[in-house]
Amino acid sequence: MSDPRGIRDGAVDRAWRDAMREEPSPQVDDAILAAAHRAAGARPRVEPPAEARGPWRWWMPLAAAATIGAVAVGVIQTVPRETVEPTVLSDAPPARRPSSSAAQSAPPPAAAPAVEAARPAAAPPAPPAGVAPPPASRPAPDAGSLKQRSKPAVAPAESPSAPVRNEFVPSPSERPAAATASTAGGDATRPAVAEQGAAREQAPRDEDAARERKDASAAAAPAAGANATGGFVPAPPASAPMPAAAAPRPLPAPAASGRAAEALPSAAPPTAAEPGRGSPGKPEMPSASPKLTQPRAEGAAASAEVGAMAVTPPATFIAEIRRRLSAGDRDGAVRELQRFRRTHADADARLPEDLRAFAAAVPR
Amino acid sequence: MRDATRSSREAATAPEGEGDEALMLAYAAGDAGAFDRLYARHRGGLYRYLLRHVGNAGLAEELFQDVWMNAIRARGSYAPTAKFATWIYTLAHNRIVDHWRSSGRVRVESIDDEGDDESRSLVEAIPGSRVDEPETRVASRAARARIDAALAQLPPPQRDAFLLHIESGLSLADIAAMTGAGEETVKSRVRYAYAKLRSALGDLA
Repeated sequence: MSDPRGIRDGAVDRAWRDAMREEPSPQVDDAILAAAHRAAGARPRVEPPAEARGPWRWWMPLAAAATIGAVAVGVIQTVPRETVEPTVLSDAPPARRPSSSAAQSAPPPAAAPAVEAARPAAAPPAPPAGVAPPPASRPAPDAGSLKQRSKPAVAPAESPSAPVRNEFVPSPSERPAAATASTAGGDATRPAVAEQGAAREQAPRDEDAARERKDASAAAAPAAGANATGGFVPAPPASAPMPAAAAPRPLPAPAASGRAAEALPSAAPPTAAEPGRGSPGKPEMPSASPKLTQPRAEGAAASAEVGAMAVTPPATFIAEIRRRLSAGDRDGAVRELQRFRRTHADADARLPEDLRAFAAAVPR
Repeated sequence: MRDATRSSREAATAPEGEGDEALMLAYAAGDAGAFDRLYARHRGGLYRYLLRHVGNAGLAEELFQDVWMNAIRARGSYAPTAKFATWIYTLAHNRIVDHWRSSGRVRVESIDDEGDDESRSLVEAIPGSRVDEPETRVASRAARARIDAALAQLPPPQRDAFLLHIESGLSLADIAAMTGAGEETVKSRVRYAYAKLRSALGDLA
């Protein structure tokens, strides 16, 4: 940059400074200073350029909408998970459908209570230290040869890969036969175990099915009482991966295992009862399961019954009481009334006039 | 009264340590006193720059007020990338150009015509200093008339470059940047302007 001193003329500058002293009028000064002070008091600050302000106007609602959308998606993703799980737990025990390898690797604890059996398969209760949880197919530690004998019956339990729910829901035509077969088999423990699986797999919504099961359990109760302590079920149904957990107390008994091995053919179709046919994944074996579900232990029956009664409407109870009374089955009517009372606290108030006299005679 | 007003305004120029740019930033931040000092520093030179261009005190004051109001409004966008003097004189320069364009008058341009009676009348209409004593004012008024007459002889680019140089104190580079001319061109214009004024002023210089 050139220095202006080389250009300047001192004489001209001096003459200029001496002569040129004009200044704006005080009114102009006052006006400008007043405007400046007003502006400083107003503090309009730095205004962003128009191109920066323009996008801001539409960017804010867009960002708010995006935020709301993200939150909504997150809530939608989390809410179903929270609502579905309680439904599964309250409805029926979770359907454990492990693959055959999973069933073999993680056998359910034998002495687990029925309530724990309803827990998700992801968190099975740890077996007691002293009691190694034998797989359902393991009858006894000292029964090596017996294990061999019970192998055919065990195999279906280790092959739960077959469609579980469909096989466990017996058709109405199968139920009487199943009850008959189980009664004829005489082994109540194994059906009780199988019934646990059935109770888990089949949501007991059907009141008829529940009622029939109750009847069947009442019929099989003596047999169950006789065999519960001595019977061991080494062969749960194929579609019930946790039968052993539901068993009251599996005691190793070679005779019982032998009975189980013998009883299975009687309940199952002849092809399913053959020892060599119990290979995993065979679809024939699970078909025998519904027939094994009818006789049951009392605890298992009670749990299934409660599940069935929970959804039974009062009208059904009333109709059943009437039917039994008309059939002369007063004991059955009394049982039905007691079930009605257990299910509905205001059962007596719901009864019609003609049944109130009967209900008054039945103690609570 | 006028002297009191002027003395108070001159007092605002007292703090020299603070740069123009810092004052303008302070004013943009809300310090009104910073503007007072800034205004006191540049009011005279800026006014004379405008007055020498338009040759009319009323019009010069009008443009002068416009320039400062523009500066007040633009305080938020002011960035000290250049000298404040460059910024404010650029506003003034642009305001004059706008005035010429909007008025469409070439009469002001005719002030370059030496011996033109109308231009002389314009020069005579320029108000004198308001602070001088009467006898001094008469003398300086005569000197100013001669300077104005000599200035009027300059071509507008030379006059503009000379006025910017002598009133604003801007460097040749700043003037070149303001006017869009090369620095050497500006230097030549200023040099020619000085030479012509010196020869025109004669015994005054």
